[in-house]
Amino acid sequence: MKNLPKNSGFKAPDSYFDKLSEKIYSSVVDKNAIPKNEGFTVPDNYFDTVHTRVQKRIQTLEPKVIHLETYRKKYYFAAAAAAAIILFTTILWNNNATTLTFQDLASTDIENYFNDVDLDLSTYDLAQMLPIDEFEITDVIDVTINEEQIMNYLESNNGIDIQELYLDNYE
Amino acid sequence: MIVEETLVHQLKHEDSQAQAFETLVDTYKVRLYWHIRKIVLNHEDADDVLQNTFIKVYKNIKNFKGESKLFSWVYRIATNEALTFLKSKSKMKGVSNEELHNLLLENLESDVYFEGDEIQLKLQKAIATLPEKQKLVFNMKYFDELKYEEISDILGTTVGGLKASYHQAAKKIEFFLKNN
Repeated sequence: MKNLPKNSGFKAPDSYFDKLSEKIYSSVVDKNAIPKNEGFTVPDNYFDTVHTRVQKRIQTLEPKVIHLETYRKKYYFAAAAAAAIILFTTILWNNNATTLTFQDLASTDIENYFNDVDLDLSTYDLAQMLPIDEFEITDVIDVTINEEQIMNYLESNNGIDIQELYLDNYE
Repeated sequence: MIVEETLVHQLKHEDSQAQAFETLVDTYKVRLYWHIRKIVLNHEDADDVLQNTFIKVYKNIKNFKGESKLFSWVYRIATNEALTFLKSKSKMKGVSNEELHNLLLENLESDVYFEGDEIQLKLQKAIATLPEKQKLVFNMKYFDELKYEEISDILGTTVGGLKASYHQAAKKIEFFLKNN
């Protein structure tokens, strides 16, 4: 007996034992092993009372629905009336307002308009449009110059004889 | 069993509405309850959603045009009601949908209306890991044994898409059960 080999001579495929537990488990947990019943239960006679309870809730809900609808309609009417009043008042207000004239425009508005809008006007165009005759020197320059200052300026800077100017005027 | 078209006709007319509504509730209450229960998990919530579903059906039956089967239409309302219920519940509790589902699963173990054994509880945990659509498809196909065509009518998804969803869901559940 002692000479007999301890090894029986049988062989198993490579990694057989590594995959054995997984193989057995997958055969146990196959689709049939998953229960078709989820395990949930319901109180006794639960289904017998469903209709009665739903019916009760519908009955209590119905008057509320009518109630809310009535209010909603009232809100619509109120909103429509308010909108009509606002519109009417606005139109009336606009009709009563005096017509705006050029004088009503603030000078800053006019300046802003010219600054903001590219009018594509040359200085010649502006000169054509501007009523020069109506301008005074003080419209452009704030400093007021009296006659004496003008006389002094002409005499001292241009060599003009004031007497000659007077003579020219009389000729 | 009453023909669907007759039932719809009766539901839309005031004189026959009450009786027809009772028939409708009796016809669908059990199937709808289990469909809802698998989504919301506990009985009290399922009861609320079931009642809301029937109230919605009652209020909107006049708008039912018969483009789909009445059964599909009612099922769709129940699905939407259940999902909306879960969303508002998670919002109220200030948790995500996933966190809420885990919370509901924890409560399931102590729920008096849950008599599931270890494998059934494990299965619910596995289903909880699925995305919303796959969860619905798996429940409707595996437990409710609805046809793909019926599920397609309810969820508005193509049969091909549903098959893919179910296949993926089954794989994920299998993987979960093996590894947990």
